[in-house]
Amino acid sequence: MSTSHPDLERQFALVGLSHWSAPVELRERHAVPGDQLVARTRELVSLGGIEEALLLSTCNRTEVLLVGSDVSGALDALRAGLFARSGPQHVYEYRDLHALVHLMRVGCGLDSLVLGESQILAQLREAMNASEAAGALGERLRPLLDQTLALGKRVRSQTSLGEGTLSVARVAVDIAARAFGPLAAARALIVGTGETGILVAKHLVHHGVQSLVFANRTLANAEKVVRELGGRAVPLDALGRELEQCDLVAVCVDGGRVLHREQFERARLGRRDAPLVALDLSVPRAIDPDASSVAGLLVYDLDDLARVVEHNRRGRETATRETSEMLLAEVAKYLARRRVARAAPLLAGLGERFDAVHARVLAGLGPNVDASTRAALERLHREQLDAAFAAVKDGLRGGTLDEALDRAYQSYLERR
Amino acid sequence: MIQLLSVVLPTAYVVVLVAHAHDFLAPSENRHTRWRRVYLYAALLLHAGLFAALAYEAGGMPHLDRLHVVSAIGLATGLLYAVVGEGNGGSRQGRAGVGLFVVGLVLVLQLVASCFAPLAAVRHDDDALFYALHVGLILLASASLALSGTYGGLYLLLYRQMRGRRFGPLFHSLPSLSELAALTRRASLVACVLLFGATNGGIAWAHARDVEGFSYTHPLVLTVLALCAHFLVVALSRRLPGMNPRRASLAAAVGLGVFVLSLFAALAPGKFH
Repeated sequence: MSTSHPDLERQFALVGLSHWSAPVELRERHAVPGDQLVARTRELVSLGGIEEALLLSTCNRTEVLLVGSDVSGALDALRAGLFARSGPQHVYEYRDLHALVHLMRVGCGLDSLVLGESQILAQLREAMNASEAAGALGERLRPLLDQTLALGKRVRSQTSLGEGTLSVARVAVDIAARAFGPLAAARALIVGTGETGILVAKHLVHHGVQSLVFANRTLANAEKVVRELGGRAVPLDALGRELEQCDLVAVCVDGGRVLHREQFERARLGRRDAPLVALDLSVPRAIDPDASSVAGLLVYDLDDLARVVEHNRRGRETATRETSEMLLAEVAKYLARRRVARAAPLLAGLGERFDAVHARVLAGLGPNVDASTRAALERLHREQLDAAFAAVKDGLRGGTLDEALDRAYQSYLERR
Repeated sequence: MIQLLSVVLPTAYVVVLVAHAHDFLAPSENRHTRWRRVYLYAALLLHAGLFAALAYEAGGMPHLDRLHVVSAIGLATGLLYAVVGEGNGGSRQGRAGVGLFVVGLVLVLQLVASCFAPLAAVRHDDDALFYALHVGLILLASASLALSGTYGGLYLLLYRQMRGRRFGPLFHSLPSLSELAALTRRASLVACVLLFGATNGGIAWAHARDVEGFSYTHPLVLTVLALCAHFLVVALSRRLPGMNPRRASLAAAVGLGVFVLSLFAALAPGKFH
């Protein structure tokens, strides 16, 4: 379907690659260093038919947004130049409304690897500054970028986009944080150094956990993980002693129970019933279910974590829907602004006609008009002109969230 | 005016409560996020207006009936929370959640006062400045106790949710257990210091007036000092053997209940005030 829109006047095109379309080795080959942004943007506006341009380059995407009377030649040049080293399947291209929608989705964090991450706003700002310095920012791109940045900020403050994770390992760590707040003072014990155990440990390290102890049947494996992530390695038979010293225990092992109620009972005495979070990420469960009755012990298994993941999934869907609605409203606003800008000659003509009528009426009254009548006529003229302009602008701005825009957004989503 | 404010105030606190509840349950920022603080300050202003009206009626510092004192504790709790406590609680929803319970407590106190407090006041015949200082300290101490008890209650509530593996709005939105425990300890410490100061101030005031029976051995003074010691234990619970955050929170919540009872005993007619 056609994505052009009469209010855009010029052609908009966005071409690029991102983590959705290209592997990291391809992305790093196309990354443009910050100190080259201005020069590369200048090259873009020197392409035939291009009036304004933006070059956005981050670790996850390299994208070019072009505005001009005819962008086809420039797009061919980019495919043969900047994106020549990647196959056509890795490079995407959006035109007109799709380009606008894509840019705003990027600004909102809807297109980010980590949904809702806010670093992209700073990167967009940097690209905008480079575009400004290169003289590639004009009356179409500047308001579009201003709106995108404002929308990005609004989305992050008014929606819960990006909150709540869908990773079981991270949910486990988040649950621990509900008990301990910041985990900087928490001592963690990881039982099992398989994939899940390491993932949980990495999240804990990311949260700045105070100390990390790895317990494993094969001590050598635990020591290997310790060399990578830090902490201490202990054999599995030291679990009882370590349990007394920790605030959080994550068990990620295969093959039966490793922690029993009695071990928690003994640990409880040493801990004065202070909360101990036990996360059982094993199938079959490695923590005795009876242990949950021990005072101060908060036990969670995979079923519990799955419920939190489901809650987060629902929250994300809601936030994504809210963000999309805000985004569409913003695109509509931009189109309305363009419509008003497009009507500038019409408004100027209207003003001239009003002035001519005013002058004719004054001339018809002759030279004997007193000052107060003249002032009243001047005021009437100005107020009528203002009212006419306001009415025309309101008419142009109205009914902007049209079906065409909604359809364009749906077709954009279907293309992805 | 007093009658009008007595009717309007509970309604105003209901509005504040609804705004907090809405913000607490909403998944994202909404108009209540911006307005709930404004609503709270407006309600507190009305509440202060009630005491101004009582003072106007009395022609000076009013002699407070015990139900007026209940209302004043509500006002002090709301003020202390708005000025100091509102910034605590972590996320938007966490702050709204804590506020929901604090405003709920203030609403209950004001509702009781509005229903039963007399609609007039007489002038207090003692040294107004000393009286204001003593009563002011007591009110602030009471507000700290109320906050401490509320935080303690919230800790127990969240702890139960977590023990029961219930992942509802309270689990997702309240401050963490450790934050609630820290808030409980801090509020208890402030309450303890203020209560001790207010009690000694009261005794000094009684001695200055040669009132017989006011000393550290007076049963009511002993009750207040015992309460003071109780909250000192909560405040220092991190360092005391046998105490843990759950027990400290339980102690704070129970302490609040005991305080309310002792308050009614202390304010019985013909006693201190």
